Amino acid sequence: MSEFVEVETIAALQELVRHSESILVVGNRTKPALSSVTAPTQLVSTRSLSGIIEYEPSEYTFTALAGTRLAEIKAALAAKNQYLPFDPFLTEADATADDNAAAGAGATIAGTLAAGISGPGRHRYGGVRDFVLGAQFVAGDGNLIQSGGKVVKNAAGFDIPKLLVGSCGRLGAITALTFKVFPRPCEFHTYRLQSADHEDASRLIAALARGRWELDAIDYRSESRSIWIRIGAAKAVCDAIATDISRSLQTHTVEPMTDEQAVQSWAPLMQLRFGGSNRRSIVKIPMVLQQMQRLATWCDDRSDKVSLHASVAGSIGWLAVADDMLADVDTFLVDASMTGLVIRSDQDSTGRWMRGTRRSAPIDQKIKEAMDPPGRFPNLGGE
Amino acid sequence: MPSVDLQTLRDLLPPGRLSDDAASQAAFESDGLTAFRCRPLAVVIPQNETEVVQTVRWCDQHAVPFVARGSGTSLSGGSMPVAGGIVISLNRLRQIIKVDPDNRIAVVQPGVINLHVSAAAARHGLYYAPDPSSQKICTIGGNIAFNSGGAHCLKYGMTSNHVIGIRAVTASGEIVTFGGESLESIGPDFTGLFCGSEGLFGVALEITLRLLPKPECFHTVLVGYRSLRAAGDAVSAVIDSGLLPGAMEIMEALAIEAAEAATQCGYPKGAAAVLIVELEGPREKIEAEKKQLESIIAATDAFETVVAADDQQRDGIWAGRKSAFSAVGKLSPDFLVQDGVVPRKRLGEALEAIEGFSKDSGLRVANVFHAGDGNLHPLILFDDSVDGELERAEALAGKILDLCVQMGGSITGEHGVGMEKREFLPKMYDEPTMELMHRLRAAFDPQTIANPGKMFPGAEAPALSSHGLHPLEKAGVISRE
Repeated sequence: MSEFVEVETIAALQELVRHSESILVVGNRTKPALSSVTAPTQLVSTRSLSGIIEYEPSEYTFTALAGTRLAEIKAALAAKNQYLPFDPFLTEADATADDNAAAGAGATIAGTLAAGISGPGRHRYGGVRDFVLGAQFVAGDGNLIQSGGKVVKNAAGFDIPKLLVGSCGRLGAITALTFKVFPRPCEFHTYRLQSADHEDASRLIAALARGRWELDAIDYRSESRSIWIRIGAAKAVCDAIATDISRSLQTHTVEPMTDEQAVQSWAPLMQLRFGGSNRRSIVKIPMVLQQMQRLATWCDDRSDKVSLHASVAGSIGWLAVADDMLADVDTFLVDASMTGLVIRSDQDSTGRWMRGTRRSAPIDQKIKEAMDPPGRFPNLGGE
Repeated sequence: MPSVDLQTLRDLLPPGRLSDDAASQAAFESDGLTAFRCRPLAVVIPQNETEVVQTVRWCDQHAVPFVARGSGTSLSGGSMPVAGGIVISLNRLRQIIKVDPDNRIAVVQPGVINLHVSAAAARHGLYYAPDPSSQKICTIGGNIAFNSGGAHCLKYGMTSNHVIGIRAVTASGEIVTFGGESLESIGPDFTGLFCGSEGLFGVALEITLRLLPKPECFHTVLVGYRSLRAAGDAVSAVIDSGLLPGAMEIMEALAIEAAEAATQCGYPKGAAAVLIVELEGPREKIEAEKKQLESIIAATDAFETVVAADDQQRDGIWAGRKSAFSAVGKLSPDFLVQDGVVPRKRLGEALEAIEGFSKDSGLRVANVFHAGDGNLHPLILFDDSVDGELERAEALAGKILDLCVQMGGSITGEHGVGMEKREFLPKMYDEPTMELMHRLRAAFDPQTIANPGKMFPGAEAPALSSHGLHPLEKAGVISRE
């Protein structure tokens, strides 16, 4: 791998893109597997392109440079009682990270978008794809592109900002992003619901998700068969809703968590460090409820090396696995016709951030060539 | 256009699918942008996905342009036929393939009508959130092509926020699958790119939609103001309070008067502007939020406040709003409607400028808008039988679009660029960005045969002619938003 450089200006980034054979932009490397490449590639950090350029609380929008830390954005929004409802991960500095930058800073806004990952709050209002409004980026030909808009509603032109979601830096080098934000509920409260088994959990999650209560988050920790519900409102309102859920379900009781318990429950997930010290690799797995049951059962047989946290009402599986289990995960995903995204792996250096069943449609490559005519960025497939 | 042997296409398809007689051509010659018409070479009405793919591949092989079309309600001329081209009418691909209540998704064909998705999901307590005003008649395929909006975009987003998977045939005949049944996917969000591509990439064949739980309660408030500015200030106050209403709409005097005449909606008499604010959610939350909203409204310069006491009264309030454009349109033989967006804080400034444009042009403009997201809907009234009025109306519309761009907004919030606003797209995006969009189009459609003449400037416009209201609008089936 080539050496790692930092750019201070957009113009410098454009020059690097124009003159590199192969280039990949990173932020603070909190998701290192996504920038793991085997071919010689110039890694460029945009973490110095940092700062909130515009923030208009009355417009529900902000624009920030690519390397702006989520923590900075979160603090600026909180000061105006606003937030990013999709709960971006890895906001806090991570003292256990091997990489110094990640340890000291936490994730950037562009890294979050490029990885296409959203936290538990995705359940209520949508994910990172649903909140990005505009993207400025350097295309493969070195040109600076201004896509999307800066207002909350815009249907003009192709929605290129969405295309960049999940592109892992393979379609362009992001320099600035505009997001929609929402007013933040005055409080959040978390409740726990104990299921008997994965099938029971699946049934409960389905009932909770289509109920009248409009819950902010519905997550499931498969090892403990425990469902976590988060509600955004004043305590009395949340308690009334929780009581009604218990009444409606009849067979299960919703128990409140104390604030401390809630923090202890959510914080390791939000740092993607929920699997303990021997399960440090993290794989994101899109799924539906039926697949969640199958994956959870598979994890039960490997409980010493694999932990599953099913988020967003069973739509996203977060797998914490021991590094030597990644090949087994791969096999499972292929058998189940599912796909996974390796976010972090301490030992794997294959550059294979996509696991399981792979896309290989001709249109993918044509879109890549449109975004990156000279082929400066690594292949979409992650190898 | 080289001569085309339609017989080869006719031979590919079962009998009766292709029509090229004058009556069929005439039936599809226009869409919701009624000032324009263009007769296609032929119309294909496929019964299934295979016939759609066969037709697209035939067009690709013979370099014949095609326009896929649902119910033809596009207000930007997005489904306008192309001379010498084929219209592929998708209305018979109207199967709701499945509703999966546990995962809160519906899988549908492109010709399914928007409101039918919610109807199918209702027994599970679910609904499909995007609600363009034409939702009784417009199709999901058309909604995807133009990334349709509606009154509830501020809280719930646009069509693309509710589409999680698409299977499509590209203009070059490739079958592609983007996304799937999970809310999330891995890799670039191709589904998001396809939404809002205005039919330039190909034809959606099967769509996976995200469903939401139906809101349990609504709290709908209608407030009368003596000035538009006071109504605008009230919107700011609601936004600043931290409430997130499902909808916030403003109508001004001309629109109020017309809506009252059309629907007897009981709007406050003598109001210069009315504001509709709607909260929605579980009863526990609404109970708390409605008190907050009440105190916010009480602190504004409202002269009359009506709280909908029941569903009937709520429907009445919305009937006035939803009928506003059709009602205003009846005051004039013809009208144009724009849907530019400005930053919310500049709404008052934008409306004052529009008033000035109106005076300069001698044409009346009525304003109805989604106040929560700065989405204007100025309605420009004109009479095409008067020499030069259409041109003046178009010039006025152009000034409004320029204004939206200058203010940092957008030329379209929910109708799409289509044919109507294609000359304005380069005002929003610089040359490298436009070139990139052309390259993306070429990735799907190297021959530029899919819905040509839309979104990008430079193509010839179909002949102008005057037609007044859309027939469905006259019948009160659809309305413009």
